[in-house]
Amino acid sequence: MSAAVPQPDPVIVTTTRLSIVALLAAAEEMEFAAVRDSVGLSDSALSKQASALEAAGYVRIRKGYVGKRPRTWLSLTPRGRGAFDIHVAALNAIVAQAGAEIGRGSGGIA
Amino acid sequence: MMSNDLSPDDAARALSEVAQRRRQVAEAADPVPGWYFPMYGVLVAVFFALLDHPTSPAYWPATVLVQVVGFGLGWLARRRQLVKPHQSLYGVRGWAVIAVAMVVFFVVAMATNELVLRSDIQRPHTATGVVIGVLLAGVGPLLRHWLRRAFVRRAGEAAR
Repeated sequence: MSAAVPQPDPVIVTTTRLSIVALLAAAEEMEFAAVRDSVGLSDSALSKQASALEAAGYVRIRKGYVGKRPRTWLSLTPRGRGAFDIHVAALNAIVAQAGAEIGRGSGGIA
Repeated sequence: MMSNDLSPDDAARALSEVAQRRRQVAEAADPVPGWYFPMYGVLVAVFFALLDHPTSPAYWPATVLVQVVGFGLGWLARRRQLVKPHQSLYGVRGWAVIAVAMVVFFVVAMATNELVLRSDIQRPHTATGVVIGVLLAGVGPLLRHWLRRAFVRRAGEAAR
């Protein structure tokens, strides 16, 4: 039944957001600069994406200090983690389906 | 890009992107900061040294202070980590490394304490504390290194 097939999440389907969410999925929490350097974005670009993901309820933004320096940490919310898991399942399903179709096609030719 | 526009090639690229990001986190993640174990080793040595002076009026306040500072250090270490690894990165191997390290540490600490108490050393608890402190300061970074290797291996397994 098609209803059971996981669908890609429209919020994280773009490469930039997927990169950010994939990083945060492997971490409990990650400092803003570490995310920025890993993904290769500017401060403002990451800030914009993080705010959009926060507005969607996928990312939590925590502000704090290390010594006297202000720092910002990003983490996935349970909702964001759930959406990411479904998104990855959807990607795997698309790849698997294509593989099965290729298998059927080559079987037919043979 | 609309979600239903994803071709198998796009999906495969996205999966490879996810795996790459997971590897990045595994390589950058630190279970505990480098200063944590040496600092904790010093605290343990101080704590044991206090046991040799149980009648001193400073015994209980100092003992409580050492415990509070120990817990505070743990809390601070966690709060200040730049990349905190998710539990899924530990995997069976990571938890096994932690469990084995804890058992080895406990056995060595108990054996050291037993040996020192049977000897004629003047301040036996201080001696035990110094041995355990040095053990923590020496083995702690190794544990950290093994855990980081476990993270990278786990990230690689998940990508396959």
